Amino acid sequence: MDCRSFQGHLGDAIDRYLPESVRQDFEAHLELCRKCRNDFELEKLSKQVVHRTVKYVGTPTAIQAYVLHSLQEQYENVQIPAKGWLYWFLTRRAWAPALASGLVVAVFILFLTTQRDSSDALTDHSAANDLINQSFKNFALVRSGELKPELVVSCPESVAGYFRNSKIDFAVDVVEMPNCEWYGAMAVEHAGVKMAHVAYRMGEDWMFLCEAKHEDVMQSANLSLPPAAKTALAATGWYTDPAHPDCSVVMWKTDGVLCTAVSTMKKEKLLALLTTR
Amino acid sequence: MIPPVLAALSRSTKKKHSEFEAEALPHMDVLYNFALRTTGNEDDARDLLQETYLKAYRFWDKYEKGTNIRAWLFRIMKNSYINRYRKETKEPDKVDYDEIENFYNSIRAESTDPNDLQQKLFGNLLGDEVTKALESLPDDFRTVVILSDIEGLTYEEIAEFVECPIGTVRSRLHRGRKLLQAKLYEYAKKQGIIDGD
Repeated sequence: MDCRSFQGHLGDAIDRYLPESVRQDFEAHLELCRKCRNDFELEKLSKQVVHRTVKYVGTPTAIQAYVLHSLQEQYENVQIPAKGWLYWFLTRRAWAPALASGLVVAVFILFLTTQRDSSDALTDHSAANDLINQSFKNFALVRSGELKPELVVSCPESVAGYFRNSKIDFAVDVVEMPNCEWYGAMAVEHAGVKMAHVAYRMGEDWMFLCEAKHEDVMQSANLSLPPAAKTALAATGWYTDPAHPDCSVVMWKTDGVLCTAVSTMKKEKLLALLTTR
Repeated sequence: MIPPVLAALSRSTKKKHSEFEAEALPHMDVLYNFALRTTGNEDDARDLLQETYLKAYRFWDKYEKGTNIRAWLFRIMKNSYINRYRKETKEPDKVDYDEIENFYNSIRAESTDPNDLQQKLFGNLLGDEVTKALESLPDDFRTVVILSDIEGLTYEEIAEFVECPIGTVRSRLHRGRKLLQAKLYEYAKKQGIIDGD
């Protein structure tokens, strides 16, 4: 690697990740070239100085109140039309019963045309303490950038090492994904249950993996699973959430660990990757 | 007494209020910090924050649910800043980048050990000095340095926030840090924290 190429990768080395194929050449050049090494160290230093000395401050209470007060005034300025034709139109007595009748008819038609499948109750995971529901929320937060992994690396071995040195007391199954640009890891404790979270970025695709001891999840009074998931996991060790519109959900048990994966990949592709390891 | 239909409209407006507050208000700290670092003082930061939230509420129907709301709010703030504050304040002196480059090259002398510099800078520079140096950067460079080195956003997020390609983010960040180094080095020399020539 020459100096020009090194300078081109400087930002990635400091702020992001270097693909394995580039990292070795980068580090080799770093060893050999003092000028580039100085540049690297100085830029890293600049980042650290800003990060460590410019403190993040919470919004002062007075300013919060000022903004909220302004918003409140804005809300109150949204006037319901009082004197115009719309007011006359909406206050006609006949409209209230007409609207009510229309609503009743609409509900009746909806009732006739919608088949409520009793199996919805078995797969429903909308409860706040549901493990799949929580995995979805974390998945969305990681994708949006609001939840940042503690560790972001380009190789799964580093993730395994991170968990070994953390409070996680089980062997984390770090799924190695092809073409994975980076892995993000977080060791957390939720509702008294230790959990390992791993985020994967693979081009346009994302995957969020939540792992916890199976018995901890089953025995926890603060976590739940859909009945269909419990049955399937007990019978086969696998469960897939049926027909989710935006992404796939797969759960599996391995060596006493319950894994929940939420991904933008199609279910078939995700299952193929998970089952052929 | 409000007729029932109008009461329904009122409930719908209230729903809009509560939706807006639930989604937009949690990002106030992030926006405030950016406003503070950009305007340089609390009063202007407060006004910029207020203006941002009022505009966001006014255009709440334009926000596409499920997309990155923080980026959306940030763009409103950035545009408000450009429209109001940048015009009001004197334009900062244009940066002669070549001059900075020459100066930067001079501090990369054989005798400058980054580890030694790190110790001295960390130990002796106050947050105020670094903040002032940051505020003196040109807007485009300052924005990306704040978003990366204080807020910890990725290049992709920064690109979305400032609506420019990742390559531009990379380049601005690199140049912004170089400018910052030059300014901090100059300050440290003046204060006697490090030996000047």
